[in-house]
Amino acid sequence: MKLDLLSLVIIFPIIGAIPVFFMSPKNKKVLFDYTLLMTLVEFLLSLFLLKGFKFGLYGFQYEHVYKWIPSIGASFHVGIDGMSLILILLTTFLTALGILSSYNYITHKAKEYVIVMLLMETGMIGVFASLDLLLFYLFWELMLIPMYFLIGIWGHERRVYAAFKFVIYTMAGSALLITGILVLYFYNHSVTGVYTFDLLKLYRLNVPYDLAKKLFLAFAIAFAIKVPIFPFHTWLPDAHVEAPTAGSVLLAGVLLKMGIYGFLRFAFPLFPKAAIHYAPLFMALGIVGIIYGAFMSWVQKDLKKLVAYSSVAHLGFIVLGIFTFNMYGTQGAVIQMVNHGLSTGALFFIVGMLYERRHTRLIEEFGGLAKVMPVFSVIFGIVMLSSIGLPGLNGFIGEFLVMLGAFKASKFAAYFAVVGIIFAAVYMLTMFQRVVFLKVKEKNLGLPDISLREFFVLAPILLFIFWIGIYPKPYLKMTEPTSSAVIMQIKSTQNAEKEIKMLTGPVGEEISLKITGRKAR
Amino acid sequence: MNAHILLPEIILSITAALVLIIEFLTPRRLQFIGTVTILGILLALFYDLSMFRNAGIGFYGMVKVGPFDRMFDLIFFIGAILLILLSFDYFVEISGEFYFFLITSLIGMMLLAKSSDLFMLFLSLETLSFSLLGLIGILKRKEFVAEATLKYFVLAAFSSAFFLFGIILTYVIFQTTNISEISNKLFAAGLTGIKPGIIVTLVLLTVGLAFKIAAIPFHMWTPDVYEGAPAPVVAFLSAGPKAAGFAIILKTLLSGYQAHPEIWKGIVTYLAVFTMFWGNLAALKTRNLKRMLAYSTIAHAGYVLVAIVSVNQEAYAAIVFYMLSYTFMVFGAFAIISMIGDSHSNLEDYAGLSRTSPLLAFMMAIFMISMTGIPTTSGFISKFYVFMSAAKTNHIWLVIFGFINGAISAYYYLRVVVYMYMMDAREEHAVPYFPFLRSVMWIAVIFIFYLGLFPQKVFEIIVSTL
Amino acid sequence: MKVIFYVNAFFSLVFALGVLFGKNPLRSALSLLLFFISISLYFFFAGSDYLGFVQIIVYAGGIIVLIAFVIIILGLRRESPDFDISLRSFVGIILLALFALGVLYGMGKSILHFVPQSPYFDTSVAGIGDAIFSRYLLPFEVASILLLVGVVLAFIFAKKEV
Repeated sequence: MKLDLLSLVIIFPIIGAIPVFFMSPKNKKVLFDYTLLMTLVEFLLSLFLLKGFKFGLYGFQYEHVYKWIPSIGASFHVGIDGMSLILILLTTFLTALGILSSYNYITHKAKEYVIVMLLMETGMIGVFASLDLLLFYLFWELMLIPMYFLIGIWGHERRVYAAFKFVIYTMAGSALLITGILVLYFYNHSVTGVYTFDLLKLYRLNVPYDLAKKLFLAFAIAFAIKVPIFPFHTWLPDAHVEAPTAGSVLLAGVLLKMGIYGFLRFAFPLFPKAAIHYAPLFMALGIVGIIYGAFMSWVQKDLKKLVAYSSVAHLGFIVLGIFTFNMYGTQGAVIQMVNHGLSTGALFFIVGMLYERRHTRLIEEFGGLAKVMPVFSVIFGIVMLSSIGLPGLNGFIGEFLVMLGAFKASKFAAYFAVVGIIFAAVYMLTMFQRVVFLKVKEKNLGLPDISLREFFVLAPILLFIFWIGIYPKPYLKMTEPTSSAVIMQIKSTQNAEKEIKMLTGPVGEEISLKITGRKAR
Repeated sequence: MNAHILLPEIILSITAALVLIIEFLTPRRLQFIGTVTILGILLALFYDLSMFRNAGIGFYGMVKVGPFDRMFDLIFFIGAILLILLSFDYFVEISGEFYFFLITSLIGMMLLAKSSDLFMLFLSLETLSFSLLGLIGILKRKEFVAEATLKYFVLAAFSSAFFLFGIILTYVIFQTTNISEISNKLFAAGLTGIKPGIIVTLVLLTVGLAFKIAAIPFHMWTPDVYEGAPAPVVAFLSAGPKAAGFAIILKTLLSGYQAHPEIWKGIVTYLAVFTMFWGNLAALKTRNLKRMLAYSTIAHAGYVLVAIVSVNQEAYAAIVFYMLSYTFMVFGAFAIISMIGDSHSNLEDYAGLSRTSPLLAFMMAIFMISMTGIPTTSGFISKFYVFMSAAKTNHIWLVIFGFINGAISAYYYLRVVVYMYMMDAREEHAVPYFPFLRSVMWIAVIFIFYLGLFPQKVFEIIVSTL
Repeated sequence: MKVIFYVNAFFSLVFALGVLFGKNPLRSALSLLLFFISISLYFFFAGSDYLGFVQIIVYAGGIIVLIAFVIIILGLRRESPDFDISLRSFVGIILLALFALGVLYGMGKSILHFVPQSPYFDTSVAGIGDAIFSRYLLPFEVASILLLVGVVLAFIFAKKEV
């Protein structure tokens, strides 16, 4: 059996984890060096995926089907499109940085730590690459255990509680997801007479409206818990705050995206009519998330908690974007997923670095860092501005597109979202002012500036923050077929076709025109 | 008469007699007697497998053997062999009759799975119960053992009385105790007029069986017996005899009353739901690992009952697969409990295990994760398969309840992991090296991942026996 | 004939309760003896005289004598069985009564539809021998294993060393 590139990318981290079992747990440096190497190789492999990827093509590439459990119609069916690819790249990128950032942070059980990280990488990539519902569920649940360990072992004071909360919330959601999958599976059998979990075959299914509504809710609740959409978000601040830095980064950067990805890949295309039916509800929840997240961030005393709640707000934007069902909104949401991964990931790295120095995350403990740690403060500032969505940085592109989409879909929603952006600016700037400016506290006087290793953690992220902010076209182009396919699958009405015709074309160009005022060539 | 279809049982009976004689001649040479037992079991297994596809009725309709029943035999054999391996390291000084009881319990289980007559079913059930009594009470001087033995004895007798009463009333109604004849009569004559009587008999039979598989509300004996009995025996108890219990349910309810499943489905549905929830919720607050696993085994019985409610071919296959995978999980977990020590099975005793013996902690984590039903382990596939059979017949709520229970159970299974990995030990002491216990642990882990990642082959075999 | 049957049924119930509530263990044993004898009458009613005699000889003659023996060896003590009528036992009794009523109702309701048949085999000594060694051979053998297990079990639990 010849292994194709994509499957290799999926299982490579696990293969890389096997030698770790035989390494001595004493020598932390060797363990981390080795793992860093593995994650870099993995990143390289995922870049090979990018190299062979044909832009602008509809459908899935690198598609491969291996036999798994033929008797129930489950197969190891993998394949990627633009959206999956960009998320896989984000995953491999952030995992490598996560390992790089943990050299000093992890003080005990280093061996278990690197195994868990590698295992998690496989799980995350698998989620984004599987085109078989059972396989998807397998990776989806598999993710839980490494994350549970990550929070539970290397977390902060209330780590056990947070880890439990995370696992039990997700598993409760998965209960609905797997039930939905099973019902769909048997419905498909009753129509076509074939037992299959294959997503591409199930896409062809036309689920009756009543059943679709129920199934959509089952899928949507599972995904909403993962995103998390407003009433299901309570696990997130706990998990984020208690997780170690790399855990928070991966949680914010990748895990939260799995929910959105689930909507776009599974819930929408499988139950389009139901999606339209429930769109107002979810848009409203997205807006509530934006406002609520902003308010909660505003009052936080803990730096990490602030970033965590800002995630709720950002994810609210993304949810709003995907439920607009137009090109702008969807494209904006997809690109915003990447942006959020980068900027919130960077923020978590930054908070982690501060924590390593002071062993506290309380905002009031800091102040005047600009004088003590100038380089660090500059980077912090840039990342913070990207998170707010300053034009020229990546956050702007996503938020702008989402706003555009929301405006087209519902002006009302757009007004609220604008308010949310203003709030975001308020709480982020307040926090930044209190941490970086003001008077220097005595305790902060001797803090060392950013080290070389830390710089290498943040520099690549900065690169992408600027790149996406100034020239987003390649990224938009990469995800364009996905977005238009999703929209096409959702709206089979004439109206939508018109819209797609208008927008599927050189949307990247149009957008860059709108943003920069000149043709990007 | 067709005696050869029971050749494995006959071989085992001879082995049992041999074990008694050897014990009489050279007392207490455990490894020797154990080896003889294993050889006997392997010989029986060999004949069992060589006749795997031979179906037939024997002994004037008392037994009916098909490949599916031999599938159950396989689970019993695996359980017995693993128990013998565990016993080599676990027991220091016991009388060799232990192995005699082991073999007779094996005979009891195998005959249970093959009986096609309620009378025969009852006798083999009693053989099984009495033999288990011997296994549970073998360390009679130890703390809690007497309590566990007496409790098991009283409740086994009690449940047998219900079962027997049910059999007698069934005979009153149908004038026969042969299961296939009952089924034929039901198909031919239907329920007119005798429905209340049948419901009474079914309630009695179900109560008797619910005791055996520890379903709510007939589970009271489980935690005490699990806490008191030696760890290897407990593992055996929740693997083999439980599978046998499900085999009888398949025989009586599904085969005997297959013409009218609606009359018992209601009872079993409620039984399943309550068993799942009660087992899991009660496990939440137990702090003793053995007691916790007792409640967890109750919950697992609930999951399997879900498959029975769905009355289809998948259900049969799912139950066999579930019991097979559960056997490995439970033996793995109890192998580690045996290593740590029976009397040290509080959660606190597992604190910091990841530091003192990382391998054991890692393995235990795998067993716990598998019992939770996280993918890539056999626990997931087996649970998935069970609920698939329920989803097929549109028992959607049962499926949702089942998976929600999975989420609840995550709490207490992962709490073990919490103690092992996230707490520090009050006092650290190294765990001695036990070759046989470790081998069982490795076997269990290998099969958990094999069944969890590549279940296709085993699925095929099971489905081909239906 | 019917009258005798019901009188006997009544008395077997009385004797069974006598076993439970007897204050003197020996008196309980005697109640048990009478209970077994009344049970054997059922066999006579059913026409299987042989089984009736076996019942009397084995149970009444053998087992009760052993039980009485054990009681005498252990010493006679007046045991007062303490039945406290708490709420719990009260609920238990009610549930039990309901259960019994349910069984009676269910079986009584469908009793008209039972098809009475002649006994499966003749109940003479020869007939029973035939049945045991043909149709009921396997149960007979399994019963022997069961008894062997019981014997070994008793031996294991009774002997001194572990």
